[in-house]
Amino acid sequence: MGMFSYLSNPMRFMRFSRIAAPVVAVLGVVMIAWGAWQGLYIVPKDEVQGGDIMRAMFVHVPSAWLAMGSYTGMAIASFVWFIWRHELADIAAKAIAPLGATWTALCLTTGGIWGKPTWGTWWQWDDARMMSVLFMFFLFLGYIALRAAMDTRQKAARAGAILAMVGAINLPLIKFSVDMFASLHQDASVITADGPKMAAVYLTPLLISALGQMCVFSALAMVSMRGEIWTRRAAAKRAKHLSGA
Amino acid sequence: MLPKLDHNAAYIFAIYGLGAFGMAAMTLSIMLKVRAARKEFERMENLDKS
Repeated sequence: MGMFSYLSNPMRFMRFSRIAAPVVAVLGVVMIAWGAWQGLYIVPKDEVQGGDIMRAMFVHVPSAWLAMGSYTGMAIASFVWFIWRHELADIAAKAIAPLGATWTALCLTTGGIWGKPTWGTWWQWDDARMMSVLFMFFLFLGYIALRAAMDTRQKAARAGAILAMVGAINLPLIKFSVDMFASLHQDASVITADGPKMAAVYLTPLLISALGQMCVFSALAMVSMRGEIWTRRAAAKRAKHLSGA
Repeated sequence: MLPKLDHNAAYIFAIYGLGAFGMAAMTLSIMLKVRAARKEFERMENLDKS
């Protein structure tokens, strides 16, 4: 909590992110590369999971976690803005949205490609897991479009925050969709009440890949937030010039 | 060089390729956008000084 409080000052955030973003990005790329090397060359194929196609897990599963995690982050940042009107929280929510949309698109497309040889179809329109993730993708796009449609920054932040918070109701639906409804998608095998059901030989590279994607995501979010801070400062200076102050 | 995979190799390469492409494209798009924002900020700051 102390860390968040310290970084809630935009100047401190700029100083911190200038160093942290490249360091975290390099760490993330190294971890993703290690995970991909393990996934493609080292881990044994699992015939129960359809042979080599289970290697898709090291890309698809982290992207799915990141997609949900990013929506959670955007909703929390929106809530913080909504209650305390903290500008950096709004900047964070705005920065997360396109990244979340990208990771959700990655989750949907890689899932579809994995689905074809496994289920015999790219997509199933009445599958609760697929449809709830697709709905989250549209929520990200809707958030971006809604903000862009507003004529002031304050209105954009308010409308976006409300949409992000209301849309968070979709998150438990995504998580529990495979338990509540009949689904082609397999049940959870890592984040379960009884702990991971996966052998360590698969679990370790999966977790490292996920950590790597999280690092890249965080680095990109920090860089994007820096850009938004510069944009807002430039706009403030422009307004000052126009008013002749 | 390429890993020896079963008949689903094309699907696996497509998934890894898509993952790499998606992240690289997002990185490039953010870097370009942020660079433009920083330049605009610096321009306004120079205008302030002059």
